[in-house]
Amino acid sequence: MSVLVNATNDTNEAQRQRQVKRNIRRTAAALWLTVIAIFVYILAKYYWLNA
Amino acid sequence: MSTAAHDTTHGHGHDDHAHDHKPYGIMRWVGSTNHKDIGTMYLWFSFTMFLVGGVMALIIRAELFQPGLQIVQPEFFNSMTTYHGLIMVFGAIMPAFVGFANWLIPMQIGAPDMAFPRMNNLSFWLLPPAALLLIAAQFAPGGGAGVGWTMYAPLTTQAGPAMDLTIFAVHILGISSIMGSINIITTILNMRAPGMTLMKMPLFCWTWLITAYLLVASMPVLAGAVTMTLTDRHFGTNFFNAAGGGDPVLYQHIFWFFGHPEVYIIAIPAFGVVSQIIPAFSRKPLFGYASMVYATASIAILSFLVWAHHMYTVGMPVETQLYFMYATTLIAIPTGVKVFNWVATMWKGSLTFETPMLFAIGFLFLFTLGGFTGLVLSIVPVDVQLHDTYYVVAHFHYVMVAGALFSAFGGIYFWLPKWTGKMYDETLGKWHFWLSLIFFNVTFFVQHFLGLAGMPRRIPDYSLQFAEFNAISTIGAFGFGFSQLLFLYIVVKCIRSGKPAEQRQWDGADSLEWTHLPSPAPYHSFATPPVVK
Ligand code: HEM
Ligand SMILES: [Cu+2]
Repeated sequence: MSVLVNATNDTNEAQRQRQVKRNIRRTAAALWLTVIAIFVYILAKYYWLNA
Repeated sequence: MSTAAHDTTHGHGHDDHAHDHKPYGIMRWVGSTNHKDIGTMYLWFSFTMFLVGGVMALIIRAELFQPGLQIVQPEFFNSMTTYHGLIMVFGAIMPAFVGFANWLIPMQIGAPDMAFPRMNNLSFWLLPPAALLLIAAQFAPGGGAGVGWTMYAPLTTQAGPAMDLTIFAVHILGISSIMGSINIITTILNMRAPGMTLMKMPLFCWTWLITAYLLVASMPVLAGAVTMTLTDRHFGTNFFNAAGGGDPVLYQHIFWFFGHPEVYIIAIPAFGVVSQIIPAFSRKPLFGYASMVYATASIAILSFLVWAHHMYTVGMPVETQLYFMYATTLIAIPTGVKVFNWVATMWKGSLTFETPMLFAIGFLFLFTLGGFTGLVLSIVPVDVQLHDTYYVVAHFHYVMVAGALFSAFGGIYFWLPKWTGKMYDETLGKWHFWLSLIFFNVTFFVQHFLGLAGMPRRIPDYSLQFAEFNAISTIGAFGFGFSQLLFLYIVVKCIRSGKPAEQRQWDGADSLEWTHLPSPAPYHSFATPPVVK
């Protein structure tokens, strides 16, 4: 994941801001996907184990 | 640790936050997207829940003052143990540390706010409805669900309608926690001021970063467990129903796969707060900063590998018991590193003992004692004797009350000057500490003896030989409870009429909120990032 990009490397401030915003969206999306994947995995795993 | 580039300790002339206008009236709070206001709301909510859960605890202790059934019905007693636990864990302690996170993380990393201010608002405002559901459950037909905060099947699959309200509340609390932790991770990873590398962050930010990952990984597991309970109750599944081919012990595995990380979700931010307080009052940098980070991360990883130490007695192969025993005792190593570092920070420091430091040292002694009884419980043959006795109750109150709660008290005294711009009454703060310390031990130390003698937990009546220690414990509990009203008085007095606080109220405190921001911290801080070297 590119979320650890050090935001100071860009000289252009507007570009830096866009980069930070993009990274924020990516970080959050990755985390939401993780949460949903774990939840679905738990339910699915034991549902099929039982069925 | 952050080493600030230039020190603006003196004077309050800060030009980058001249526009300090707050929204007025109730909408300031309902629609708030300001991390400081949301932090404040979390802290007040937490204290309210602390009082509600506290009243439930006093009902439990009043009933247990003497053997025999005196005051409440057994069903109601069971409901009290259940909701006391749920409310204290999810309503009091967790939101308290999220309150700290909201207030402090943006200021400590030099960010203007959290990454998702509106989601932050939603995270908070999900809490009051969840709390109301838990309270409303008491009035459901058949009363509150007497299933224990661990919500084990098959009790939960057979409980009355209160159980559905409780499951719904847990779902909401879980969503709130998940949104909060996504906000925290995103903020810390992306919004640090230039020069604020991860390894320069104050340890409090590190502990929350790690805790937030624990939440992201474990909350969906809890959500899964209660969802399966819900479908077993109403939608014809048999996840936990033995008669239908399911397995009640499966519930315990899933719950504790969440549950043990959960106890560290409570403990790790408490470590973070203490790691800010001890260096400040030792006037020395934190000893072993990097090892603190690694130890905290190790604890977090290990916390996913030890869950079945809560279930030694369900019937498992001896090899499995052995594995969980060794894995659990392993946690003592990183925990020992942390305790060593806190002590080494104080070593040869120029120590002073204001209220925050007193609570931090109280934490140090008593949390370590609680960790030690945890080690005792992790030994399988010992736990077979002690499981579900008052020894376990003593263990987890040492880590959660004298550990997490004391750390939160210390943190509130520490940051009140920064938050309110005013000083609390030091004499009264010391009174609050000593009363809490003494009454805490009166309440819970004797519970070790009760457990060793075989008194089971979650029981409204007990045989005569346990009478003396129970009477002592109840007296301690009421003393502890009333001492907390003093805390409320101290905070209100501070806000109303405290003496003005200095920007750097504690001369040993070196994170950005002390070095760069006046007291009280302005409504908007670090709109332009500070320079951190
Ligand atoms: C060195 C660290 C620790 C060890 C080795 C440890 C070990 C244990 C063990 C073996 C049990 C199960 C006892 C039984 O039910 O028979 C237990 C229970 C418990 N521990 Fe710990 N523990 C540690 C730290 C903590 C911390 C830091 C917290 C929370 C802040 C915590 C909270 C709890 C709670 C809430 C329970 C009881 C759960 C219940 O059955 O309701 N522990 N601990
Ligand atoms: Cu555990």
